[in-house]
Amino acid sequence: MNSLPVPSPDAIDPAPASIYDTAPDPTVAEAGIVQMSSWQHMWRRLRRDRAAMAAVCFIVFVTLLALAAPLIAQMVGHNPTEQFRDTGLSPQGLPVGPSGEFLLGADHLGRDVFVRLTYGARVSLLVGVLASLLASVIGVSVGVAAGYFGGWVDAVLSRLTDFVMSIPFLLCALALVSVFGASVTLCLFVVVFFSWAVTGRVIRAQVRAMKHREFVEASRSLGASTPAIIVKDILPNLAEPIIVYTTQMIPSAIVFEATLSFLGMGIVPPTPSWGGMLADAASNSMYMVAPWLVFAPGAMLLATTLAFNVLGDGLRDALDPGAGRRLSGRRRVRRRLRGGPRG
Amino acid sequence: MARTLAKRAAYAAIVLLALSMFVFILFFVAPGDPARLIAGEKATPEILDQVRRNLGLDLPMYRQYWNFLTRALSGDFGFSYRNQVPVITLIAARVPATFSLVFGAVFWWLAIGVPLGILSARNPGTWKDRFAQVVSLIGISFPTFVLGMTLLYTLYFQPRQHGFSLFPPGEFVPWTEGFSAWFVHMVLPWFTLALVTAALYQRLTRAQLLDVLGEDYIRTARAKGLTERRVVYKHGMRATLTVLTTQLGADIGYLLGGAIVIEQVFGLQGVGALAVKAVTTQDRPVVIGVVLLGGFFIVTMNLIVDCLHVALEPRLRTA
Repeated sequence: MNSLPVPSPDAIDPAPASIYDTAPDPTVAEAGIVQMSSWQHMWRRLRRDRAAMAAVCFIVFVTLLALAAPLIAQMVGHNPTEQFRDTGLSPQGLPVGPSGEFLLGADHLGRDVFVRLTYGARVSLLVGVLASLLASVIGVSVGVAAGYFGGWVDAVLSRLTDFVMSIPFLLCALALVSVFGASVTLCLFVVVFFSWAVTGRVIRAQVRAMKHREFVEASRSLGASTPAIIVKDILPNLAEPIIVYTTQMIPSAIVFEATLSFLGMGIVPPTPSWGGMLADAASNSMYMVAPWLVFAPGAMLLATTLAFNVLGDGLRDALDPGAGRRLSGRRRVRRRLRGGPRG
Repeated sequence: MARTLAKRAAYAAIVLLALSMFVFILFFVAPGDPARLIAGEKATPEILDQVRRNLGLDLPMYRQYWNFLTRALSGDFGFSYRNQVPVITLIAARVPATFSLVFGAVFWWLAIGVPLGILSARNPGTWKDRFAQVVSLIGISFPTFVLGMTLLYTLYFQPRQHGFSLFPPGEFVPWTEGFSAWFVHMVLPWFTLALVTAALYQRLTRAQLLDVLGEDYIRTARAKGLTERRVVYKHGMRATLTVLTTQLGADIGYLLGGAIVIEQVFGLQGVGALAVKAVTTQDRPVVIGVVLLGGFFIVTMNLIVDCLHVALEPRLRTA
């Protein structure tokens, strides 16, 4: 397990992976050894991680599906909200199963599940990715401010973070929705509001540790202003954790949105969303007679969150190869994880 | 140490106060007239005025909040707008189902997640570790309601189609009406909640135990000639317990306020189902009551965890 990294035989690049970030040495360069940035290293490691690459392929596939949704609807000839009561429902009024006309069956109103699935991918990806990016921006801003300035700024922001982490977030989300009415914007807001705290806490700890490192002190003694230090010294060094945490936030955000929609508090019908489709399936236990109503959106939801989780783990390991099996025991943090709403 | 705990308790009180303000202001600025909700669509303006006066809805906001707060402290959260039953009675009727669900599930997810985590950490990089990690990745990615519906379809509906009953769906049977009936009705909800959460505990235990097993004192313990079993369970797990209890406290506290999704999927009449119903019927006192109760459970569990840590970690006693 702990042998030196051996370049895979198919790697054309002759650089041994053990030379990290050394100063460019002319003799070394002449010998055909090329210096690699840490990003190139990360990409190399990620490329060798088969699970992560499969996850990337699946995410690309879902993205294409989402982008091509109108095209697919046109090809199939079914609008996502159109009800085909003659062909999509049996004479008893039950949805018809997968067939040539309805690739993944029809739902209780005779709508095409496959077409709705592709439109649902748009909602899931949009809310999942956008919410994670926004939450990441907020979390990083709060974390950097709290960690760098310390004092009362830290006290206020840390209490705020604790507060957000100790309120019953799904209940509060329900209360918010009951007052303002369900909408995509509110759904996005709710997911962002209850997601940034973990990132904020991690970034704060990192910034606190970094604040007194030599390169920051050097900038300060050279007369760099606080904004300059934050932008030029602190943030570039946070790039790796930010990427990992943002990626790991996406699956939780997707599940969060789907949960809200499942409870009828997220995306408003008839706009297709995977959570909403599952809610339709659950109402009147329709899925007992039409299991494809659960398995189609359920499998897509599971596969998408799984892909993002695998990619998140892969990125973490690629950026910090020891993280998965660290044996040094130096980084003991009080972890408190929180995925999407599990209850 | 006592001071730290007192500080934590004061902080918990502040969180609850802030939470109560948050929901109160939320509903105060909300559109919609509560008086009309209570009196009905056909009520005359006089009746509406009467209702407002009776409920104190004509008072300025800070007075309303003060009245609400003082009553809430004595356990009075007002009456449901829908059926005029005290909110606290409504909630109390739902607590047994939620508590049965949560504490049963806690047992199962610890029984599944922690041993899998130990298995991984004791054999890092082997096929056992890979297997446990793949299982937990799938578990982490499974949205609770998808797993719940899948289990209901395969373990309840399919057997019933073929003429035998394996597990009933999860409607709640109080255990005063028979332990075995209570138990079999809870099996599916328990395992749905336990499986998705166990995955998290597998990851947590693995990461933490791997960290701890690299520490110097573990090497000392091994050098002393202790058996590997003793090293892992006595010395390794002790340090892992802190992290596990932190997460466990957060999870239990959160779920006691209503395991909304599970209750919805299985039709369990718990606190979460009450919240969903109250939200859809605009029954504000009930929503406020459930949210505050949820917050109360979370901060209380965090306090209990803090006390536990003092017991678990001798270092904290002097700090």
